[in-house]
Amino acid sequence: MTRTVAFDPITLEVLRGAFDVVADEMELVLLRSSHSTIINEALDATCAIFDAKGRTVAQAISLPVHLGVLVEVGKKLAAQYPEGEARTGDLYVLNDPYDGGTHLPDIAVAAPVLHDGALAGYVATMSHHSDVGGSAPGSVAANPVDHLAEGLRLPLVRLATGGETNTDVIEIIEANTRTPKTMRGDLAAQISACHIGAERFGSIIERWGRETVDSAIEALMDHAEALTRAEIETIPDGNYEFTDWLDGDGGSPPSEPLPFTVTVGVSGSDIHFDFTGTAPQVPTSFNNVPASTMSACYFVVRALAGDRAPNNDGCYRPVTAHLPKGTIINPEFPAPVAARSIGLLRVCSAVNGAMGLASPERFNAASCGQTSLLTVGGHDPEKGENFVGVIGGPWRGGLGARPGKDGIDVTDTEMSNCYHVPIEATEALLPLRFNRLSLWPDSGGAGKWRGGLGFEAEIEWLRGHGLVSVRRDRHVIPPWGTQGGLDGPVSHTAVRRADGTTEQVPSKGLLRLEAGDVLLLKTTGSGGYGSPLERDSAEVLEDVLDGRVSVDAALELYGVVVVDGAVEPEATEETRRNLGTRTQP
Amino acid sequence: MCSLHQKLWNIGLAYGNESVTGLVAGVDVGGTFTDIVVVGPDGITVDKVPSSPPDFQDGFLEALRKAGVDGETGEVPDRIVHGTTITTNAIIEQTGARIGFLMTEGHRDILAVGLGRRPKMYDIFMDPVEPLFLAPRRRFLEVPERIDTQGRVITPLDEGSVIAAATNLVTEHNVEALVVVYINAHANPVHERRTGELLRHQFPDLDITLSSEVLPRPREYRRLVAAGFDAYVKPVIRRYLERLHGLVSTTGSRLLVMGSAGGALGVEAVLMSPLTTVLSGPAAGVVGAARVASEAGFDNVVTLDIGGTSADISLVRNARPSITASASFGDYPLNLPMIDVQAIGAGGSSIAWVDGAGGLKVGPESAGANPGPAAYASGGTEPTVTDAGLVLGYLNPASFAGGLSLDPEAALDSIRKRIAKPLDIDEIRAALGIHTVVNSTMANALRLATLRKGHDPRDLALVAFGGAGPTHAGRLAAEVGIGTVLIPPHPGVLSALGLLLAPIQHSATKSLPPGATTQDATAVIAKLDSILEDELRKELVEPDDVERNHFALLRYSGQAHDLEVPLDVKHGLDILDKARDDFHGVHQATHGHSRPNTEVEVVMVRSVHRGPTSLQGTVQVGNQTSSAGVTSRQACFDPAEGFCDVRIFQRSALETEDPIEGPAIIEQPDTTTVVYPGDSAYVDGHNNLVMKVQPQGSR
Repeated sequence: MTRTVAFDPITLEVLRGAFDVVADEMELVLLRSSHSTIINEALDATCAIFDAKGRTVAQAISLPVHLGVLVEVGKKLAAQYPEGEARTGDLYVLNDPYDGGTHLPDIAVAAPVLHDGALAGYVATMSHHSDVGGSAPGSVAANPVDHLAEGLRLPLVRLATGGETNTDVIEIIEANTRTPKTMRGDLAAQISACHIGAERFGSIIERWGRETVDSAIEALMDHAEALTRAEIETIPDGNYEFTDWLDGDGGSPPSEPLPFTVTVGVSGSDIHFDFTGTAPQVPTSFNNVPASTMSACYFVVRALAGDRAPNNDGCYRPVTAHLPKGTIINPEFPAPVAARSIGLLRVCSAVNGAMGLASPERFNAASCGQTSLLTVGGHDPEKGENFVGVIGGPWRGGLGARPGKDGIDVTDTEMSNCYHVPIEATEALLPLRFNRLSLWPDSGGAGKWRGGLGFEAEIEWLRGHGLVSVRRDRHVIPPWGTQGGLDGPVSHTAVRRADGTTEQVPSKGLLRLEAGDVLLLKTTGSGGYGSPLERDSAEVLEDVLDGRVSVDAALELYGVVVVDGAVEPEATEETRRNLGTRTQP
Repeated sequence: MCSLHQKLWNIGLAYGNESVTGLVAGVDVGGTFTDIVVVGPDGITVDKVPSSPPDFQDGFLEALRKAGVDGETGEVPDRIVHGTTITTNAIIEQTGARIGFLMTEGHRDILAVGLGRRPKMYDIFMDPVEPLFLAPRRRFLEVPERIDTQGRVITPLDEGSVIAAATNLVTEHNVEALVVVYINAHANPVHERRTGELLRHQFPDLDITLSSEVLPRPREYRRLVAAGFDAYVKPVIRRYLERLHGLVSTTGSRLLVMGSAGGALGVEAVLMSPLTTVLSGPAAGVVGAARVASEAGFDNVVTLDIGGTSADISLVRNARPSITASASFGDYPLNLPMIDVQAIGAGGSSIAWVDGAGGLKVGPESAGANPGPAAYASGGTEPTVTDAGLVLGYLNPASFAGGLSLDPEAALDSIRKRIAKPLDIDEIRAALGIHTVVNSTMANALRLATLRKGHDPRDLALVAFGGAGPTHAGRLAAEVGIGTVLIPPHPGVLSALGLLLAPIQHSATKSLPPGATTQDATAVIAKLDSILEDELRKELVEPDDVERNHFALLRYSGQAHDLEVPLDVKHGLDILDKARDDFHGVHQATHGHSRPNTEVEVVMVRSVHRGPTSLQGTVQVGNQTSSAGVTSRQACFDPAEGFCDVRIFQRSALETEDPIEGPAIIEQPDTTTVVYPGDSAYVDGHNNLVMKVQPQGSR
């Protein structure tokens, strides 16, 4: 046991809980009083508190995708509004991806915390807003001219000064969104959360004294660092290289598949992520700024330590990275970055793959690896109004098979952690109808442990028209299996037009739907783990009976012969023997 | 076993409109113990017997026998109100009925697709968060039909498919209950109802659950989960209650069952809505605590029930338990009106441990009742909160939880080995650390639970009960800034008493279509009221004895969460306008802001009818039943000061209004109360222990 905390462990635990509660209270206010579906249904929002140096002290966990992001926001706050600049009642706002943000819809609102006139720290919230202008409704166009065409860009500026709201800034923001009412409500929720956070952080200092709080923060960071280092130490030293691919850049014509290459270097308790070999930046908006890329690295490191390590700056200390400039994971301004989330998932699956090489018993096969996010804008003649929204249902396919466990069907995975938007909620808001939403049989990669399944959906456009911004992937490169497990299938997108013709649709781009058109989605599941020939035939039978695996796939991939709802043991043994011989190198 | 059997006096009683000469009994069956409280003209009798899983009715009858009200000897109660854990167990142990689902064509996978969000986001080895155990995928069959979002029929119901699918589920899969979940059934239940008719006609022996009846609200996954659990537990609780009802009615008693919304229901009503019993016991505890507090003059309190493995927190406003319209059970959104009880994994048996970097943690793992804390000396080696309390001298090694004896050496040894040594501190500091950490965990949860309801905990009093509640309450209250702690006369059996203090209560809810007017709402309310009046009549409650309350659920246009606002139906004005006006204030109080210029939607209305409670008037439990003297024991509150002599009082010997200055320890068979240094306590006119606590200031 390494005893590293030079602070009374009891007071430390009490204060850790107190800081967490501040962040939780902020999140409570934020989530329950926000207006947009993305925040209050999908919980795409997060809260954190920082010390006076801008280091993360605690974070209300709703989305790992915000992990690294708020690290940068904290640093920016400390640099721009340090002691002397920050005043009680100040509020700051930021969304600039090239200066601390991630993509423009993610707006951070922050407030300083002062005690006896001295700066003690900051509180911050970040929410995904439904629209910040730009060329496409929802502000996540796949093909803008450049970053400036993506929407309103807010450098870190004051939203309020000493308690006085800077209404000029609010007016500028409201003038640059297609949904000013929702924007107003969501910003108000963020501001409320900051007020409550600042007040609560202040009362902790009031009770325990500034000196104790400051040294507890140092000790908590050291403690989290020690826990994280202890986990990294369990991984054998070495360099582990892995490449995963994005289908292409979604341009016209689309590019060839884009490599995401990472070499994870483990040395003692240090871990280094080197992205040399990763594709150059793309002209479309699938680039990730470093803050965003790093959150994928932090996520994988945190997945090692689990939920038990405090979520603060100390967790990030063992982590270093090389992100080559001008690549899709560290683009030069003004490359567009709005549709970052797919690239982010690919960073995550590449890092996951490399970690799996280092420690196969702790990492899974590839998950679905795409956000099936379809934002849509248009006019509803029945309601006589324009709308912007997200086509609901699930956004993800399956969780990749784990060593010792099957994957999970249709779940959010990795960096994201959102609720599916209920069909009934989507149908109430948008002129569309889900004619089908069901598991996609055989979409979980075969393996000793099977990958979680993806889904198929048929969505009918009912009236007027809708302009859909399609951001999907894995239409070319499937989610990989590992340790002998098979890949999942590739995803498909198509439209069955009102006239009965069917058009295949690429994974990225803009799509116009007219009344009577039906959008056809097949979203892949995930990869399998271990050889499917080693899967217990009783488990294969269960999957067949439940329609997760077809009789054909049971035979061809698993070598299990199912006839009339039962396994034929002898035929199965023979088939498995033959398949085993065939797959021998 | 506890020597709780006592006859007390000074009881002011009435029994609704029934005879004032009879007895009433509350029987709370928990996982470990079955508690009984019998009240009659002669006084109150309190007893405890071991529960008898899985045949809980045996323990139930044993409790009646022990209290002398089983019909063999003496009188039988007119009415027995029962708190049960059957439903909870069926869900936790996944031992519910074999059920099948009929779903809209194209939508069989609402459960498998599920929620999407995972509670442990960094754990790639997590299990699915959805209750997939309700039924495997093969038992979800599709039927052609479709209703749109406004309730229009898009595809007519294919009745032949209904029969074919149901027949398949019955003959091929042997289901004992069927659940119907159609898309948009909340907007128009016509297809679900027709399906119900067809199924009841074709399969008269099967239980049929319609999602639009269980939860007439949008969001298909939530509606499916609520309906699925309804069907999953219904046959289980029916078998149990029918057996129990048979046994009880032979003695001449009438059986009522406690519901999660804080009211008691007849057996027939429970079988209509079986999930209502999911929080039966905890709800009774909150009802008991609310009543005890109100009589002591505290109408706004937070209740805290600390047991072995968990602590239940709930908020009481204006002497009424707070009800949530959309409660969850663990990760499962049942969306039923329930008393809002938040359970956290911290209790007497919570295990203390040191993490990989020298941090002290308590829970959520628990040593449970078996092996239990190290001090039980029945195989447990992990140090627990109870072990810390024993080492610190708070608990009496000779009599804990009704006569159990504790081994202080074993407790000290486990704390030394597992905590003190790794942290390089002495055992006393370690034991105090365990207490401090668990108190702070509970204080944080209590704080968030009250804030979630828009209340500052500092404005509330704390009612502490359960075996470990009174031991921790003082410190916990100080931590969140609560000044008054109330400890009822029998904290260990408060739930059983609460059963007798719960009104007979029925409620009904209905969604309003968008753009509904006050006339629409009034018509819906009138319909709900007439349904509820019929139901209460079945419970032998006359309309004149019924208190009717109405509520509306509202939200700002675009919000996903709604808030409940009381409706004043006698109000001459436009009741929905009034509710919309009130909503801004409720939103302000709950969330810290409001937007008076934003459109407010009225989502649904709810009617609640309350009949009389089993026990009315003042619950006046007599005091000073013994003359046991004051003793002393070594206890420690501050590591710097070490152990000092602390006075030990027997609760039964305390004189009313006689102040006790802390530090002091007050013992009674079912709990130990610690009065911390600087705090004080006295017994009030209702025999409650009232503790005055110094809020924790700066250190």
